[in-house]
Amino acid sequence: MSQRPLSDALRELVESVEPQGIAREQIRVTEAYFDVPLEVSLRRKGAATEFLGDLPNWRWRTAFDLRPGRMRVRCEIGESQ
Amino acid sequence: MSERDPGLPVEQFIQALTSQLDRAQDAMALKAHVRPLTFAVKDLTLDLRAYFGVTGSVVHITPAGPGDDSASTLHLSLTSITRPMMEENTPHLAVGPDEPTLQEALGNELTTDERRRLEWAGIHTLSQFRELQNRSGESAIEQVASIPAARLKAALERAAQPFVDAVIPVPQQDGSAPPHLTIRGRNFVGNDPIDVRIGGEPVKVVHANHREVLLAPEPHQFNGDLTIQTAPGRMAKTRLNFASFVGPTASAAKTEEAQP
Repeated sequence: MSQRPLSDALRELVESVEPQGIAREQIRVTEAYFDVPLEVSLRRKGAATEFLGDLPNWRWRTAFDLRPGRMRVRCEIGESQ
Repeated sequence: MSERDPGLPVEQFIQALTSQLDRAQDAMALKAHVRPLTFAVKDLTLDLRAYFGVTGSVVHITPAGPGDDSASTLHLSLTSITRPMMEENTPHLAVGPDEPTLQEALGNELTTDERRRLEWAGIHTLSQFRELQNRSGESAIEQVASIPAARLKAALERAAQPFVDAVIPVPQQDGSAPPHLTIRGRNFVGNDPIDVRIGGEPVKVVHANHREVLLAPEPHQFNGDLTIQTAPGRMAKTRLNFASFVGPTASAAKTEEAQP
């Protein structure tokens, strides 16, 4: 069962394709497209509800694990406003 | 969520999802302070396994749990919205420069959660609230913000009550005539002619608009209870103490809103 807010998983996923270290000076990823499994649940926080979503922890799913949905994300590099 | 959990109305489900996307975008945009080029999510599609149910007229959604093999699939496509797209597609709701917030205007009439839902619907000020009510009616706001129409009516009624912020004496040019009094606040114009009294006696109103009333009191009318009534049951009351008029910037020490 995933426990992270979707924003955390999404941010990590997108940032994972950014070159690190010396590669940052030599290469630039301009666009990335992810098609990944996503486990989703809701968490009540007082009157509000938090949307939790994360990649599955295990590759092999048991009967006790969520059957994941699917998330496709397209992100682009660009000058921030 | 347990099997017995009725889930969330779909609107709230979508709001919970979009607030997560906003959070992710905000976090990525923060990097712009150190890097001129940053990644931003342009499109996102989700295939979510979930159960749907209808309670009254509200569609609820519950994400599927472990072992749920008969769940439905919700396919959502989201794209980032630019400011020009927003301005093009959103009706302009006017905001005055010194408008009271919903909190100031409605007090405790609505809960914090209900005010937040109104803000989600793009209603941040009283004039936006009224404008949307005139355009779409209470039932539309009720549907979007999940606030019963009767409570919305009560909140708007409270917000329509006149309210006095300050009373300011204004000396007249010839100096010998008694000063005028400027009343600042809100909701000073109703359907009926405004009725202003000091110490129970009517006072001459020079002019009045929503935010300001100019009075020409008689010399004996600078002390006592000031009441402003815009309609039956809509009245503001404050205590005046200008018997010893001290200067043009003096203002009443205490203002209060009368209960209808």
